[in-house]
Amino acid sequence: MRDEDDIELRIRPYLVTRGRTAVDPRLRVDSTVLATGQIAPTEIRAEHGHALGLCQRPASIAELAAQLDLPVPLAKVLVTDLLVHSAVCLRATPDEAPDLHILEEVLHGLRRL
Amino acid sequence: MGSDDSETIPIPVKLVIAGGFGVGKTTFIGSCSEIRPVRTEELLTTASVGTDDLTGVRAKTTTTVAADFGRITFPYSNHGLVVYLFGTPGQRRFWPLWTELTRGAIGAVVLADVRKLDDCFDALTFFETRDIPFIVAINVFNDAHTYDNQELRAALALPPQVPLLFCDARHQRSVVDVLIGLVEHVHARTRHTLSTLPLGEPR
Repeated sequence: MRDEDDIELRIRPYLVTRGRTAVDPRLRVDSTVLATGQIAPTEIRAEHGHALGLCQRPASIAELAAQLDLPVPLAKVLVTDLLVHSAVCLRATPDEAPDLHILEEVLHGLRRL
Repeated sequence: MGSDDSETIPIPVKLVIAGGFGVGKTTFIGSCSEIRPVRTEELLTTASVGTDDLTGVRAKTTTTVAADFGRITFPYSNHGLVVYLFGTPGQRRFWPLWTELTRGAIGAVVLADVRKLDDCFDALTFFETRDIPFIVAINVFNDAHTYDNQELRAALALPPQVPLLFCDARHQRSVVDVLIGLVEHVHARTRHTLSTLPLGEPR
């Protein structure tokens, strides 16, 4: 039986619960997350449950922020919480520009549009 | 901290669409994005000096900056490739936001309007000073005077190796051609950089 307090992650905009302000340093506005399936959206409340629901398909921080109607920094806080609880997994964006191979794949894709 | 099992998540890449207010960034993104463009808000904290404050204490103000967001997904390997498109006003005061948006990006399209050409100057300066690859796309409006390539390149003080294209931001074909132009430019630049590395240098 999961303790409700463990996953009670309710926050209000501009207020961070339990004085926590740490954001996973890997998160960028274009980082992509996907639900792991370990926690169901219905098991957690409010913005976290809503966010997890949106992560059932790969979603970027930007999309989550827009759909949750939150500024990007607060969306990152929500996603950090979900990451900490292994509710989502992350594909972080690299700091370096993509290599030739990826550029060629992007070109192929664009030319086929 | 958290799991990083990312094999099933598409590889994200990023393109930035820069330009002045009203130049057509949202339209441009809307013409190629598989989702309707959404608007994200970033918080920008700046220090300001209160004019009435005798102690000269700097107050911080937080403004929100809106960025348009769009997406194009391609099949690739098991998980796919997703191109994220970000459009943000290019004014100098938003530059702190640009630093995160451009980190790891393929490059940028600087969208310009011949009727308000200097609106794009701040964006040009940003990319040039950070050596971020970019191209310029002139968004052509029906009633605008037509200028030739050389006139525009001179007005923008554009170095010869930076491509200048024309587009209609309302049309998918035109917009996709601009994106292809940008990625081809970056590809050529990357190849050139690799080919000029000394022998024995790791690639």
